[in-house]
Amino acid sequence: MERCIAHLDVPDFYVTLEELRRPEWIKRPLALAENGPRAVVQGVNGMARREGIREGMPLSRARRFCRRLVTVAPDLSFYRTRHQHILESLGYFSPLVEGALPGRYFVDLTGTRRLWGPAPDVACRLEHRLAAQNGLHARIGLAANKLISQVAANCIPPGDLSCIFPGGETFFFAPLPVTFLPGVGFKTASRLADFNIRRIGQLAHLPAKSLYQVFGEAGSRLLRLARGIDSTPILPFRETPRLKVIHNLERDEIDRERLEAILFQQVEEAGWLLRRQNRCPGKFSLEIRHADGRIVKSQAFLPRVAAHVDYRLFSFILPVFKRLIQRRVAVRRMVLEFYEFSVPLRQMSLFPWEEAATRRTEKLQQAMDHIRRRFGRRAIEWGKTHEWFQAQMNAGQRG
Amino acid sequence: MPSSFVHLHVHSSYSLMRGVSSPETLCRKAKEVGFDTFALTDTNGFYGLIHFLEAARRYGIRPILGAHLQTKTEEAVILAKTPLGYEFLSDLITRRHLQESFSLIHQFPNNRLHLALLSSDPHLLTALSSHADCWMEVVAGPASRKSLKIANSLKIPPVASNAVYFAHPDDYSLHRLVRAIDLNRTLSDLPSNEVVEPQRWFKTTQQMIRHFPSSWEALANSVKLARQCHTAWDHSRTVFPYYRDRQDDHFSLLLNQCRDGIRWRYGRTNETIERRLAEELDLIVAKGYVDYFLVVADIVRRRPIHCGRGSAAASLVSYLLGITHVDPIRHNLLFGRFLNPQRRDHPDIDVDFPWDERDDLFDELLSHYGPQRMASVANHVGFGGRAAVREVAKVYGIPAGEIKEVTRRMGSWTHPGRIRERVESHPKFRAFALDPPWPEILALATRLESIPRHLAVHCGGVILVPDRVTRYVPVERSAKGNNIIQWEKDQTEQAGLVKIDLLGNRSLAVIRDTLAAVQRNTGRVLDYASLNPLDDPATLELIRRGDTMGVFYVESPAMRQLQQKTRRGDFEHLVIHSSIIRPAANRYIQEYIRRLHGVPYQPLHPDLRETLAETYGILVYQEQVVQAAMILAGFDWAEADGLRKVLSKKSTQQLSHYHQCFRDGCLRRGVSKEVVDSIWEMFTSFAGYSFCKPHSASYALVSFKAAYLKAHYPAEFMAAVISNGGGYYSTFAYVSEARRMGITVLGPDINQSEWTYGGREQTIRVGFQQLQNVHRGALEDILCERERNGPFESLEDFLLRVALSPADAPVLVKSGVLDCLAGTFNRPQILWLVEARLNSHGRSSRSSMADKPCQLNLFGRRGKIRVPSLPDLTAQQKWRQEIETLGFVLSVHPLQTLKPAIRAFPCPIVPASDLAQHIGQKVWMLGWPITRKEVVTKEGEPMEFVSFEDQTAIYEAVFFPDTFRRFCQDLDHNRAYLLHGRVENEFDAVSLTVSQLRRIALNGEQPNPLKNQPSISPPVRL
Repeated sequence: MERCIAHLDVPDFYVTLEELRRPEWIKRPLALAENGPRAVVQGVNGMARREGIREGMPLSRARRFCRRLVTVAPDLSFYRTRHQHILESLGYFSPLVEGALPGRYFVDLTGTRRLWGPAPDVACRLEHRLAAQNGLHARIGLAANKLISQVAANCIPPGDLSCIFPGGETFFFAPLPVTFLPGVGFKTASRLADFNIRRIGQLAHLPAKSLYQVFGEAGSRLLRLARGIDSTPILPFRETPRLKVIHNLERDEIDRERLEAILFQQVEEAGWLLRRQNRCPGKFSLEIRHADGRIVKSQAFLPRVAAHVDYRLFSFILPVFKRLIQRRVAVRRMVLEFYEFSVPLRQMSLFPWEEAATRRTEKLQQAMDHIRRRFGRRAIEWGKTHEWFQAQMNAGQRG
Repeated sequence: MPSSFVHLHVHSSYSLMRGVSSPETLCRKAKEVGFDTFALTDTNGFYGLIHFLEAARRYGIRPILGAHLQTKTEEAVILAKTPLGYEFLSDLITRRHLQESFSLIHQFPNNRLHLALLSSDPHLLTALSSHADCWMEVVAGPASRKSLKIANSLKIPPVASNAVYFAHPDDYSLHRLVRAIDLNRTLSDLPSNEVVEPQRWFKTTQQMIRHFPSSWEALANSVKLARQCHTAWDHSRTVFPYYRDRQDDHFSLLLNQCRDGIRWRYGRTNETIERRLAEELDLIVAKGYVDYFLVVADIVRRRPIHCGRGSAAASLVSYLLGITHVDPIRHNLLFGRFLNPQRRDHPDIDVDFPWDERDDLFDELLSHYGPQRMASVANHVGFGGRAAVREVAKVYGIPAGEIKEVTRRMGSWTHPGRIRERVESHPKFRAFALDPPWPEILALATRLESIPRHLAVHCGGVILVPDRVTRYVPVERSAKGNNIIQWEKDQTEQAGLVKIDLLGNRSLAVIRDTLAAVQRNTGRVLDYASLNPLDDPATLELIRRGDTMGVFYVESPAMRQLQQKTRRGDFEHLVIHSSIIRPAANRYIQEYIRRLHGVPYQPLHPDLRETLAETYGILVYQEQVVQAAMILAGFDWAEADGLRKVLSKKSTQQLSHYHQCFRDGCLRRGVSKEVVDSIWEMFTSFAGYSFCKPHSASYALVSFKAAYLKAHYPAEFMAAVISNGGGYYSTFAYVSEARRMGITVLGPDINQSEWTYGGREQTIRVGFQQLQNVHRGALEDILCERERNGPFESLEDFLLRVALSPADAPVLVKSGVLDCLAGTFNRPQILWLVEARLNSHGRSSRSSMADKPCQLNLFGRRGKIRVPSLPDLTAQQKWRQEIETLGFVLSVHPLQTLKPAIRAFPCPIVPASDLAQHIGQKVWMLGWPITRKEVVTKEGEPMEFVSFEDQTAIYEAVFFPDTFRRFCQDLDHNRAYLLHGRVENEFDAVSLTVSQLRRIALNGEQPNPLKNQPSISPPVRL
């Protein structure tokens, strides 16, 4: 059966959602950015783009470009719920809906003709529904696979439909620049430009053998892309449970001890949540983003009992941290993530006296958790994380 | 009252990247807290020894000399008890640096009389106690009790010490900082054995006594040991280079060489020559310079192309010996500037050699004079403003990009001590927020001022001693592998070691290469020494016009403008011009030009009329300062020469002293106050740097030789200029100049190009040296293969004969090197062929070539490569590839590539060649910056002179302080601008006073055509 895939793309999804929340911002340049002196623009609306503001630009520079710029902190949970909501409403038309990124949706309409009518009509209905229910205007590409539908959507303004009928793919692709192909980034494009190959059509016409001689295995993939061949299925999204503790540092930090203290706070936070939810993580990953944007990441297994005591959890994470912190560049952000959860069931030991020490620390942890439940999260703290200790350390470093 | 404790283990900042206080600070501190003696023991060296002796003398400290010798396993402080001990110690330090397997236990000399050894290592002490004067070092702190106990058990006398690394307790943070910089670490992860404890500062006797409540012996021993040490150090003896010859009577040797010189230079002698020679030789003998002259003469004879410079050019003897080439009698150069009965210091003779011949010459000298006797002078490399900021910021973990944003605003000559001033006042820092931790970083960077970082080789100084260098100063090996002494030129001079300066000079190499090219192309043989084009009309005209880009010493924009304004091209005036161009002499230059063009003038003082006649009544040369001071203020020669030295060293304190003396002297002799003031003002224009006439004359002769070659063999000359790395301008600027001279510049070619640029008739061929991002070895392989087996016939032939790496191949193709082999292929197709060959078949055939060369012939061409038809590049695409592979657009002027962007501009744009027709008008011009010079006005405001060029000519633009403040952050290298301003004319030199500047968007940064549409979403990866 001929496949029929619709791609819905809501440009500037986050900003559009913000505009819907606060309609008075529609006519003003708006940027999404965290608060703080070093924030980076994460999203812009049309007005702001016209002022020359782009994603990834430091907010301070954006403000220099445009003094009237309105900024709003991104509200990721709100965006996520809207995204879920859209997925659900699209699910009404087809069981196969993929929310690739927030604001980007693939809907598999294969075989729905007798139920819903011709595919272009359905696509229009999808768009109407999105507009009516959510106030969002999407651009829709309709084609025989994900690749073409995606490229098709990219060629039109929101609220429009671009329909590529089977057989017309080659003609549609031929005049487009190679950069429209997913997977052709700056590097590949500039390599192709060296051979003066700038349009997808030029690429599609090259003999496979020749292309292989220069690009190797990547050549055949490029050729498949250029000829619009793509058989990847629509994958409905499934969530795996994860616990993420993110810490954006107020000021770039290079001091090892202070970073360790911050990491310990993150571990405490995670430990608290894990014990409340009664879950034991089997793995964790630690991601460190340096001030120059470079990211290092590592993951490791955790023994099932680690999360019972914060200190024990920390002792497994610290070596990974030490391995990651090798560069002489300050740290801007640390993300600690736990996954592969299980319920903490434990076999009792044959030799209970061997466990006495661990039992004692567990009891201490339980007592602390108890105090916190009664008097609040900051009622009791480890010395390592206490402000006074931090201040002492600061003084020590300066002196 | 004699002190009951002496510091015998003290590090200054010359314990490189460990200590942080200068010897001067330590001496001051010692005096403050009541010590009258202490030992300076820097780690593995005597780096700051002369400074220490000088400071000690000033503060009345009796200096003890020593060193802290450290290897991987051993550590000890060694003190020189006698002058002979100093030589032993210097030798020991040298061996520590030069011998891989150095060990104190095995190499410590067998004597108790001259050296004392202080260590806390029991193993070392036991091993050496039988034959050396050993003491147990007991460092104040928790471990001291243990050390005392060991000393007791070993029966070695203990000595209290504080192993001082800084003068004041608050310098500890600086110590940690330099350690972190040195080890590439951050402050928080410094290993504890790499930093010392916070209490290692210069404590008072009382504080030290408190540390040793029960061990008076250790304290008393420090005094006892100090008494045994020699403290009356004197480094005032002079050590000259020594000439070794079979003949013992070196004077008659010198005399004979001078006689030969007279025959060579003059043909026959006359009375003037004889009188001058006798006078000079008398002084040379009296001052002990006989051997020095013989040695330098020997050195210059080894390389035919050279140029003696500096004050030695005033000497007839050096002219006769072939060291210098300007006739001092004909050009009236005074020998007194070089040697003088009253001169107490020892001037050295400087000789320039082509920059690429210097290393070979050094090796030759080393093998001739012996490595024992010869070593290069060192440079103590400290922190410049930029480096200081960069290093501290790195310790704070600031990313490289952010550091660059700050340092590029700082200017390359910012002194660390003036960082704060620059950041606060310079317009480049306007609206540039320095968030924390930057204020802290800048404050710390300021403190790195005057801390030496490492040693490097001085650009030309060598010392040559009669016996062994290590008797005088320790020797170590530089990163390049040369033997260098541990002192820089000032300390070397102060220690009485007379050095010879053998400097590298690019222009001499330019002249050499041009002469060789001329001989190759035309068969005409020109000899460097006898080339004397002072009367050649074409050369004179070229210099007069100021068309001297590429010509040695006179190619800077300021100099070319001066030539244009004065319209003089003769030798005498060129000598004046190359001296008068000084940073602080702008006013006098204007006055000079006016007088030159006939404005009548009164001499500053009637007595100076004769002295200053040749320079139109203006002080131009250093010796005129000396003469003026002698005539007006009645200074003796030594005093006047002292004034000259202080003027060029910019020492405010000493200067005010001389000012006072000068004024008093003048007033006593009845010179009016106004005259004194105006002369003093003229004196101060010599601050910074200034020249003596012999030096300028010597250089002007080289300028003339270069100008002659530029006038008669332009292609060969410009090619040689670019090949030798140019001088004042970038390669691109020289290529542009060549094009304006009517020379065709051809792109690189696989069969035609050499490594360097090649000039012939009216064409220059770009050399392989211009290719960027290619391994040098690959290009040399290509040249080698072409040399051996002839030119390449086709692409296939080229790829078979040369093993090319996949990274280098695209550069060769994109630069157009292979175009001539392509046949019907266009450039994308060549690239396709080459990449296909190297990626799959190329690689396999190459590896088989390496293993079994004979198989290549059988199976060399496996698989046929099909090159698809690809469209050829447009001109714009080719330009972009030229920028990528050569560094600039070669086939056209870069402004040509921006035509579409400029077309829409509403106002008419004046070409630079027509500038003279618009004097007094406001015009718009196109400009590509070529070179720039920032200066400070009298009011202390920064402004800038920038040379721009368009397709037609170079022109000078002035950014006065207001305009500079507005546009300095926009002005960058390697991009095009539209300039608006008024055309000014001054003595026929035209310039543009800029009032507005606009960047022209480069091709890559054109405004986004999709600006008003929603963005193209980044594709979802499938």
